[in-house]
Amino acid sequence: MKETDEEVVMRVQAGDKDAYGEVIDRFEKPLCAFIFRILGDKENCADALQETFLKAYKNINSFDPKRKFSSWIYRVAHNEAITHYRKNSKHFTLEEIDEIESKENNEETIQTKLDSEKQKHVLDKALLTIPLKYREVIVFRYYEEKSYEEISEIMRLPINTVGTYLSRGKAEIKKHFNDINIEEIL
Amino acid sequence: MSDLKEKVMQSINKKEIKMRTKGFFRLTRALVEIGIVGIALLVIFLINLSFYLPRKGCGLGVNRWNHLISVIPWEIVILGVGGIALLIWIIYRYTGAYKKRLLLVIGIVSAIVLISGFLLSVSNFNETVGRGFGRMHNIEQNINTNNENGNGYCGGKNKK
Repeated sequence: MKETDEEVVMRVQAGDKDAYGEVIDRFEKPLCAFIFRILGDKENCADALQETFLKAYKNINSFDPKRKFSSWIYRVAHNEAITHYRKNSKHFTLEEIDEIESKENNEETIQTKLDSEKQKHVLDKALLTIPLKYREVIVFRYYEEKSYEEISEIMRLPINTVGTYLSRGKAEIKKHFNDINIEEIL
Repeated sequence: MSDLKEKVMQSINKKEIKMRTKGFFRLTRALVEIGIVGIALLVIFLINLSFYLPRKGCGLGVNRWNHLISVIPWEIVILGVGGIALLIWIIYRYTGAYKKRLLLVIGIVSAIVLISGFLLSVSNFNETVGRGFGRMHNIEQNINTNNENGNGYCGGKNKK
């Protein structure tokens, strides 16, 4: 039977360094996709992801194995993404997003690997135009399929606020892209 | 092995990055808890003084509003309010309080320290502790002297 994330982390906490490789294998792709959707920039994303895994290792003993490890590591990634976002604070315009997209279409990017449907691309573009707090909640809910409770734990927000941000985020997207219906796309 | 995994594992194996011990996190947690309790007690004490000093130093004057403004020990009130803000920030940041609405946390914490401070001010805590340390006694004496000279919180109410 496959070990749970928490069991693998307990091995890391007990001093098994190689077990941390297993943690990276399990979370590299989902965290990469999450950070990329928040930052919208491949280079920053790689830095933020590396920092996330280094910080997670450094602080892994603060994780309580009775809780869910994925929420804990997403919290670390969320903090790193916010730090990088603020450091390289850039608000994308629709034209810039088109430019980024055309550049990325030439390479085989994480983005295209993860989302092949056209509508998802449109939504990804739309995401980069809305405020960070709404963007994160939408990414967690619709891409990472996290529950309200998990999002609340990761972002340290009351559950009601998660709901509010989600509806405001959707409303913001609809303002720019009238034809988008997030629930239908995802 | 991915580039990222290789880089991270290299940093770990070369000990460029070290795992913090469980003891470190236990100590940090204990310090935060001690900090919360310590700041809460300090704030309650300051709130207590904010209620106690005007009452002890002055009676009610003819112009109640001006009198009220003049008898409030503003330095202590400002310190108290700053302390409440710090307390709320620490509680919200380091405990599970984020699950509740911020306004609710502000309301509950403020109510607890204000009520505790008020209850403390009407108990004989200030007299007992103050005389014990000799400090409160001096403060009382200063207030009385200042009031008599017209420089105190009472704005010269007792000046003849």
